[in-house]
Amino acid sequence: MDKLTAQFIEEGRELITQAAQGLLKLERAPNDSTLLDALFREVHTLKGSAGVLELTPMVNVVHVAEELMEKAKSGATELDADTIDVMLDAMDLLNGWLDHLEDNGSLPEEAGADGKAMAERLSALKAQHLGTEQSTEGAAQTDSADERAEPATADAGEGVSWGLFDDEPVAVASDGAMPEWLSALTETQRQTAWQAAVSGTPLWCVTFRPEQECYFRGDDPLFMVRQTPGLQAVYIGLDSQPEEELAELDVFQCRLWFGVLAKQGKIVLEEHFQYEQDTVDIEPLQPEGLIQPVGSPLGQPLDEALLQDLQHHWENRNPEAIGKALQVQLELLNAHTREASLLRWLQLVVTETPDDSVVFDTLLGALQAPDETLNVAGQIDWQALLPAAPTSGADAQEVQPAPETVVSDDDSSAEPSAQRELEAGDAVLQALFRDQLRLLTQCRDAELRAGAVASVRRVLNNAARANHARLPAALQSAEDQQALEQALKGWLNQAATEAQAPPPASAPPQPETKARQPAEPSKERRDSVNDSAKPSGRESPSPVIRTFKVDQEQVEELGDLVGEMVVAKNALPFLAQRAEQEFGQRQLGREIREQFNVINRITRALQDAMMQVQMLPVAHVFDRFPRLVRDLSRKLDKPIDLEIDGQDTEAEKHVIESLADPLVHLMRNAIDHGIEPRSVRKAAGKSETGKISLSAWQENEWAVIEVADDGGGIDPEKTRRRAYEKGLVDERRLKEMTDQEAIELIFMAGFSTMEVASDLSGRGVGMDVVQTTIEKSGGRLEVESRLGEGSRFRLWLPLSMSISQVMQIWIDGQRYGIPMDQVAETVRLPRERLHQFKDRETVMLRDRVLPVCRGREQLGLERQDDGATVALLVVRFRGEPVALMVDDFSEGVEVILKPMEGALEHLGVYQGTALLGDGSVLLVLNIGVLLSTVKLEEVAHDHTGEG
Amino acid sequence: MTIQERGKLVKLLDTCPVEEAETLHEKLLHKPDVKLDLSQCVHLHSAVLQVMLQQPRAIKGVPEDVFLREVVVPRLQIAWETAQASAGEHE
Repeated sequence: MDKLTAQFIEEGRELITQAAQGLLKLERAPNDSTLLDALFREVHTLKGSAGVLELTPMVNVVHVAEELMEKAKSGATELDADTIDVMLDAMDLLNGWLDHLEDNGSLPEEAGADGKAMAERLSALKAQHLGTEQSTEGAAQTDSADERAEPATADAGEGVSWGLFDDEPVAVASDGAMPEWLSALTETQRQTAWQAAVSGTPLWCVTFRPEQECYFRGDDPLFMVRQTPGLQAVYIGLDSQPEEELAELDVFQCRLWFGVLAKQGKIVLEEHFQYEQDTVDIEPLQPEGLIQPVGSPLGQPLDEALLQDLQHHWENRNPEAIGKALQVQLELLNAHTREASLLRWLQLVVTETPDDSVVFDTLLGALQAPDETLNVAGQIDWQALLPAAPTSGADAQEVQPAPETVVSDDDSSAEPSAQRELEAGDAVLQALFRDQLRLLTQCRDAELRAGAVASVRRVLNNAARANHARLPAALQSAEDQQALEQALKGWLNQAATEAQAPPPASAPPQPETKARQPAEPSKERRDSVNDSAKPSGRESPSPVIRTFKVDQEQVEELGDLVGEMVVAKNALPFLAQRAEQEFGQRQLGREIREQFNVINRITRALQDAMMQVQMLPVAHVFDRFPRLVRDLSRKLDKPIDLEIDGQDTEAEKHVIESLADPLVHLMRNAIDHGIEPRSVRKAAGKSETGKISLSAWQENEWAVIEVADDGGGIDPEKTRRRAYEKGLVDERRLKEMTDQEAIELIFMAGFSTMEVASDLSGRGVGMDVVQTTIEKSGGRLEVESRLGEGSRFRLWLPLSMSISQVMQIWIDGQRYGIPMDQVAETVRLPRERLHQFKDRETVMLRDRVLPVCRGREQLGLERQDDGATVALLVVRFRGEPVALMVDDFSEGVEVILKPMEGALEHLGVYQGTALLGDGSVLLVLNIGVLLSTVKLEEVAHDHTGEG
Repeated sequence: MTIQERGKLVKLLDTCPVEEAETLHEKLLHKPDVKLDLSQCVHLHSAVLQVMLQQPRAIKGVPEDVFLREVVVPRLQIAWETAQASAGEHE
């Protein structure tokens, strides 16, 4: 897979996750504009990236979703739960595609169809949301020039614009001069590009002049050009000095330069040429610049009658007649003449933009009086003919749709009136309005006037919308041309006075101020794409990278090495011992120990740092729950409030990973079994909305996760009965059992209190599996429950799993390890302190009676007579202290615990193995498993101990 | 070697790297009447293209690569025609 795709997959996942979370939050606060903005940006970025990789189905789906959000953002509609359902489904679909893309390098085969179906679902919702608005809009559009922009906003298909909307050439107050290479393109190239441009896809001109030395740097500008996204046409130029001798030419000095027309957003182009910022000039294409005649002049005027006919048909809006007349004349003319070229353009203009009188008149003028219309080079000087700002004038309205016309198709719908009034101080706006005024005053022809007024109105509305403001009342209400002219003049006068009042009120209308509105979001987007997290990363010459992504395998490898270092250093004390005892070198032994202390300190720091690197917030697991709770609560019709707390609590990556499955199970249990149905809750006098709180905190070396619900709680009587029915406990045990113990019966294998296993939590995985999973990771699970009030599950997990402290013990001449965090204390007691109480051996320790269990027996070894003193290890087992009798203790040691693998994996009694400093292997016991068998056996065999 | 000479034909094969620019330059310098065959070319380095534009020759063969066929070859043809025309003027 190429790097770009790999990066996209990673980023895509992140964006989809963020978007899904955003949607959930939005459901609670549908009018939160910050949320909407963030959501919109995420989806937008996703669309842009998918577009670059040409993942069309993805673009199509995201495009419609984006439109929906756009609607919500503009306040036209609100995203309700049903809409969010579909949107979440869409995110799931996209996630699935990403998985497929990662595994197979492509989207699934059915992506096209699935994507289409999803896009249709979303479109249907959109239509539903807009309802009447859309129909009125349709009517308004029939007579507007906006129709051709419509395909660009179609819900699916090739009309989708992949670039960023907000980077389109809208408020660009450029000087209007088009790159000169445009006219060097062939007529066919220019015609194709022009057609694309007027059909709603903005084109960009890239002028690329590579440095002379670029070949030496290994650059291939031609390759870069051919890779340009959305490549439409290319001009290749060659700088040469005619007097140069061919033989003396340096072939490795770049003399080429390129003009590229690209159908792609500016951001994408800038990204493509990001290392060529100084040599590349990207500017919006003014489509008229493409309309230039080629060929030599005919040398005689065209038939005057024909020109009059054309003018006549044009005024009568009869494009068919024009087309016919042009066709006839073209057949008569030599195709290589300038006149033929002009006629071909006329043909195209009449069919593509039948409302564009400026272009038509100019072309006709070029035929009638070439000397007046064409400059010395035989070219039309559009810069002089068209107003400076591309958005001004009737023609500009059509050929360069303002972003609003692409993003949203309801642009005739009213602006929210609560907004502030359009400020007169803005220089760009002033230039824009001045152009509108000029256009109006120029249009004295009755035919053109209506169109011009409509066009100016549209430009004004768009300008207001782009500035998130509303038009001044005078402009808003002006109906006819005169009123509009007056209102514009008034506004401009007001602007002039405002500009005078505070001296440096506004910047002069320079090209630099261009596209201020779009520039902001686009920069933000770029940052989020690159993830370099440097706000001004692009401007500063050498950006400082503060965070970077590293493959987790590399981190793990590093972690393993650190772990091995820890073990290796443990060999030093052995060495010191040997130096002293075998070689009698006490001094050397001491020095080795000193060195050991230094290395020990460093490895500890290293270990800590390594652990910090591998720490992740539990949010990684928690983040999935709002969705889970929402889906289940809707499915079961149990309204539930989820409170999440402490998601910043950190734990090691492995711990977080091992946490995921048990926690999902606990949450499902809480929703399914914990929270009662509405009616039951109501009857019990509780609020109908259930409450589940999920919280995390750190306690010493433990990460604690708590799932609490305010549901029905666990009924100890029920669990007792159930356990008895299932044959899990006998009658006597049943009677002895405290309520707490009865509640804990749910952790026993083969126990399930629900009569009917639901499809949610009863998947054959019981609480016993949850507990075992957690104990396998060295953690423990606690439960507290009050009947009728709710249950509380508490999960204790070690912060770090990679390096553990173990206590070494000896049993039958064999050394074992026991995780240090489970050892409460070690005591040596005279044998007489052990008591036989009924069938159990106990010991009285600090006024507490502890059950005693013999390590030898648990490991299936032969029993030995106790010596005069016994060594007891007090360990915590499910929160209770138990005395484990061993032969002897030894010191604690740090080890990397490796889980049992292969055939040994099922030996639950061992938590894992570890390599010791002297090269021997230490078996680390799993206290939970070791002792759990004990209790069961105690119940089963009523054996009598020695007294 | 991605540039081969067959009689009066200089063939460009596969992807012509930057180093070939010099080879081609020398070849064209000494053989004014060869034609260039790009039919088996996939991409050529800018420097190679530059040589061909500096010393235009007639083009033979249609490359399969779209970019070469639609952008590069037409440009080379224009260069060749322009050179022919200006040569005609001088005579």
